[in-house]
Amino acid sequence: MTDTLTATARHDAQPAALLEVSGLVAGYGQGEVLHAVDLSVPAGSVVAVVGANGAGKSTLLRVLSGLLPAAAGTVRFDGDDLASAAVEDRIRRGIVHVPEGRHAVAELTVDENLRLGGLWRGDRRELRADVDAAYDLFPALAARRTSHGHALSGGERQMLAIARALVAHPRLLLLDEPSLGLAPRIVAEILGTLAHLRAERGLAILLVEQNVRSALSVADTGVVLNLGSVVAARPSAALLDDEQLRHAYLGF
Amino acid sequence: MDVPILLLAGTGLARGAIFAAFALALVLIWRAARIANFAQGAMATVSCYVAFHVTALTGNYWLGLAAALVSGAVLGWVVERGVMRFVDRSNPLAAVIVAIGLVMVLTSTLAIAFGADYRPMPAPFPREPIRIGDVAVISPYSLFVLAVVAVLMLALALLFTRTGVGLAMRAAAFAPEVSRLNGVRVDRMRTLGWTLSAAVGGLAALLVIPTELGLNPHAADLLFVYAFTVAIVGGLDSPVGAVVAGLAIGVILTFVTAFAGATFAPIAIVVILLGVLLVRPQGLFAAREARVA
Repeated sequence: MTDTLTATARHDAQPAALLEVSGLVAGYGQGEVLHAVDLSVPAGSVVAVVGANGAGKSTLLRVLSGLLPAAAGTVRFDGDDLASAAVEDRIRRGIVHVPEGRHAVAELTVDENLRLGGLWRGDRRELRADVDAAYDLFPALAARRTSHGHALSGGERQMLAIARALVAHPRLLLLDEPSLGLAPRIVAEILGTLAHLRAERGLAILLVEQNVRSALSVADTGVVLNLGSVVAARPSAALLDDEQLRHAYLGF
Repeated sequence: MDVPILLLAGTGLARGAIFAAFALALVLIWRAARIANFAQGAMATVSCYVAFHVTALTGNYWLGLAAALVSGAVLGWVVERGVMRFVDRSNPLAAVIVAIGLVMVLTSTLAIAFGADYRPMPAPFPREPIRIGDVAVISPYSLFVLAVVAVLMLALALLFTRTGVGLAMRAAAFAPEVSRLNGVRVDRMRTLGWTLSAAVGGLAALLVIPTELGLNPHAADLLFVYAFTVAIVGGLDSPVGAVVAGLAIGVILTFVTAFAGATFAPIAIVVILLGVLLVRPQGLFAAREARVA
């Protein structure tokens, strides 16, 4: 009992968020897309960012992975400000981004694509084991290991992109629209795998989705983004129950 | 007249192997940086001057060959780090113009430092053909060239298909953004591409010069023209295309020169280039349309 209390007290004094974003401003050229966004992702949790088209969801992920520079604000990851770190360095810290569009490298085989995810660690044997583990998670990929990226179906490409990100040993996975254009059965399979990874490895996931219901069904917290600002950040269940918010920003 | 078919074929293959190696250097840079490196001839000539002087000082051809490789690599690194990475990549012409500027700087520097005379370049093996009975077969130098290029191709093939660095280089060439998102340092891969390419280019030029007039600030100009044709014919992003087209064009040119005279060689080159551009503009071996920057 005392132990629990102390733990809670410590937890309150120092919230153990893996990712802590505050006052984040970013955009393209003169056009500001994100206006002072605050957001936090606790270790081992799934946070869904939802909102209409053009709300700035993908832009947010691009800034977090370093593809797009932040104009202002901080991106604290595990205590360090990474707001100006390069993409390649953020991966080495554990932030791995799977952008929308299932980027399998068309000219490489499935096996090469997967190995690409962990090349930077420079350990051949460990890489082989990680790639084999990815095949265990996505058996559909194991059957196609020598196929080239351009020969894969949409679902296989999405699996490949996620599997490749996992080979990089992420602590935080940034997932952009994993369900876009995929059959519901495949979406369920991918989401199931992610839930499993979160339970097994304590992987934190920041998920961007148009499909609000399926996103909130797997997320602990939902963040509603509207025109580049956060209008709500609540437990998923509470968001789904708030009819006003749903009507106003989520359209159902 | 008794035509030494065997000898012509062997000489043509050896010549083609050099074209292939030099074209491969162009392909390496194209894949790494989407730049057609018009300065490659001049850069390779600089390496040959280094090799020439190392060989002259030490009396050892092999040290000169090693010096060509090393100085080529260093020059490639310097050109990429010092010049090419600052070129505006949104405009494909910018790199071409900078490369042509580089040709002028390198060529005139060589002429100022060493003069414009042709210097005889030593060959490590005789260029007179071996005879079996009455038939001239192939010269030891041609065999040497074929062996060096074969080892080079094998080493590059192993690098690209069997090592992590090779995989990273291929990924960075095809999909730079996806590669960065997977932790590949794409700018380093580009530098490495230039370094490798310039080393290969220097070696190819070193092999061709003993078969021509000798070392001169313009010694690799013609090699560049032939190899550029080879790269276009084979497909600028296809290493296999560079090798096959290089060997084929080497043999064709040697036979055209033997039967029609040396004046027809450049015409044959233009005809081949035009034919390929009309029928298959992306090159014979390009898997798809070459991606433009």
